Amino acid sequence: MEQTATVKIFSKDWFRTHASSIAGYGGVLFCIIFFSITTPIAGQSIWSGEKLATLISDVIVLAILSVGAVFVYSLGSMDISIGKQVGLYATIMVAIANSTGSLILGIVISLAISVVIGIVNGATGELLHIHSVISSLVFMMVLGGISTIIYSSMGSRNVALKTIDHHIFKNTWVMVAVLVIEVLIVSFLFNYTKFGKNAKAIGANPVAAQQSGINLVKYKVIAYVIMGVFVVVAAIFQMGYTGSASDSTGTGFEMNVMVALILGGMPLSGGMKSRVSCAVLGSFTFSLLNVGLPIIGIPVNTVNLIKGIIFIIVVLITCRKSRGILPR
Amino acid sequence: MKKGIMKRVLAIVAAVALLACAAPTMAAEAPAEGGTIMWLSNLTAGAQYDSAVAYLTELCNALGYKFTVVYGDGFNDAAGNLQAVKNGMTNDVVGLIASQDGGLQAIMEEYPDLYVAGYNTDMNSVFGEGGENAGVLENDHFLGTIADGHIDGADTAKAYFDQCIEKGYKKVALINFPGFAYPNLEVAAGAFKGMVEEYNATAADEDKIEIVGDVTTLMFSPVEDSWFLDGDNGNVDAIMGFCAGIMFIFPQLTSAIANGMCNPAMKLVTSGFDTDASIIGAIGDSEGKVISCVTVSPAEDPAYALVLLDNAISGNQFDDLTVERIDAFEYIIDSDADIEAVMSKSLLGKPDASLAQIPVDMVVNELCKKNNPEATYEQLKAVFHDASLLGPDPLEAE
Repeated sequence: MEQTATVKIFSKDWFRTHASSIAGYGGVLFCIIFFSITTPIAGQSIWSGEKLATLISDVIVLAILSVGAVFVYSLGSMDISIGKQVGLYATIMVAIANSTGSLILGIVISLAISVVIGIVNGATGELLHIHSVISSLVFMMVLGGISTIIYSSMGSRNVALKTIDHHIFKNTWVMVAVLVIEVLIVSFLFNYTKFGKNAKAIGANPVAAQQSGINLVKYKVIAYVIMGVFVVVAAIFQMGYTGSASDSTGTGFEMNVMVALILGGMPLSGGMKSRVSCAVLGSFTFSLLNVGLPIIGIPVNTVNLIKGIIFIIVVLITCRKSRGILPR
Repeated sequence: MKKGIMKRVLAIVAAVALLACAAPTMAAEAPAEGGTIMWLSNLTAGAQYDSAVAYLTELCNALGYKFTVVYGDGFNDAAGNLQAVKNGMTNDVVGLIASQDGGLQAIMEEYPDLYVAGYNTDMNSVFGEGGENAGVLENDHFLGTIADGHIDGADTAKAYFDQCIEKGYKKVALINFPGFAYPNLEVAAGAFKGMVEEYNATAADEDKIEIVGDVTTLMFSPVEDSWFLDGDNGNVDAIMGFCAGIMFIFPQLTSAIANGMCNPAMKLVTSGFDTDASIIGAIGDSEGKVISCVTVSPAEDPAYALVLLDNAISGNQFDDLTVERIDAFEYIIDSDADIEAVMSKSLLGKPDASLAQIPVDMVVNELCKKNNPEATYEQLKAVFHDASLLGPDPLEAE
């Protein structure tokens, strides 16, 4: 009996069914084992205190964004304005903190803006029958324009905290604690509430979900608002990393989130196979490559090429022909 | 074709490519005795990058260091630069040549033992009024910087104005980057206007210079083709491209001339450099050359930063060191002879350290204090401002 079960576990069908999990867990496990062996040979272990801190600081913003984005991606939607949102929120926080002496007001204003953007992003796609990317594309351009106007009026390309000590946001334990809390909250909402189950159902088949009485607009708006809140959290850490913001803060983050989710095995088409662990695993794989490859002597300009190739391999492994991985 | 075969073939090709990328690491270099010098580069490719890498590699080898490059954030973002340094950092890195100043204070806080010197950047955030990295001036591990060209925009303007007078341009247009990103270039454009006004006040009517329209600001994207059709822009004698016109103006100007959208004899005075044949072929003073003048800093400049780093690392710093930012000497390439000399005889034209006008041997044995106890900071500065050493004339000499 046991022998039969073993064969079934490693059968072709089993691999097909669990391709995304294998890619997600396999990728991060491979990176951990590979870099644990190779980096000490190259002279510095990736698990040394210094490199571990680098890894955490590299992963924190990406992981916060990716975990926050799980709801939106599980719907089969995406948001390409998150990079510009991070940039704008970081700028607002620094600018207001410099004039008021406190970060609180900047954070509250950023939260308010993120909620408005979340509502508009979530609702327009469904109400106007346009792809969710379109409204986020509009926000990407609008926020970029606002950022340019702010920096033009300040006469500088960057702005730094003057009096506020930002070092708490660089503390590794604080970073880890915030990420763990976020993962617990999102996992609970995603796996144990009606909202999470409905989000996956919408991603799996929006027509069937709607005909089952699920309010698509409501759930999409909630998903985008949740993501917006975590974008603000990510912006706090991004700003706190150097105590500054610039007109390019957040550039490319939307793509990094997408790559991290795919590396973690998340089907970008959303649905029942969406998992919070995809975001965490993918973010760690992404950052392990960022930190590990230069240690073993890979030229920094080749790291992106290698990440791209790994990305292609994971896409090829996880791609399901009937639906594909791309969002609708 | 069998179902899924394409997917497998692609996966195998990707895996082979991955191995090919990783292969060089199998032959990992032994760490150098002196440690590693890291360059936080603002460039990723091109003639200036290739020359700097070739020169710095030779210099570092000669001084007993390993040399490595990390690429700063494309927009000089503080967090991007810090992360780039962190990702490339290994425990043998002892010095950083910074070509970007974003996040410099955070980098130096993160790595308090690291010595830092700048190259190719005026470090306005350090030395400028109210700069967000001004705190590094209090750090004794910060050693100063050599700018890319002039620190004071008025000096840049003077070079452009001199070209105007020398070449007899009577109608010009100004194109620039936004002032919030490049305040010194904004100063340059303003100073240029002032010089023209001052000149016009005493010049005969036929000699007066007209500046067409206001300064066109490029938001880091090339000038639009329609710019040449706007107002009198298409009829100017020359464009004063304070921005990196080689990249942001030259291709569009060439196209506009070819399409009859502007004065066919229109010229470009600008900065930047590349050894691309179409660019090199367009620089000079003979007929049909579009770029009448280009200013560019010599590729030998990183040696300034490396000497300061080597002195600090070896504990032999100059007694007269002043932590400051200094101008770079500039090549002003405005003739066929100049560009030919630069291309055939300079480090800028060919990434070959043996062509350096400040030879590796001179840097190691004369400028570095550990090998020449008599060396001084004033001598170092003088070398990097020495027209008889770095100027185009020695290049042209047989």
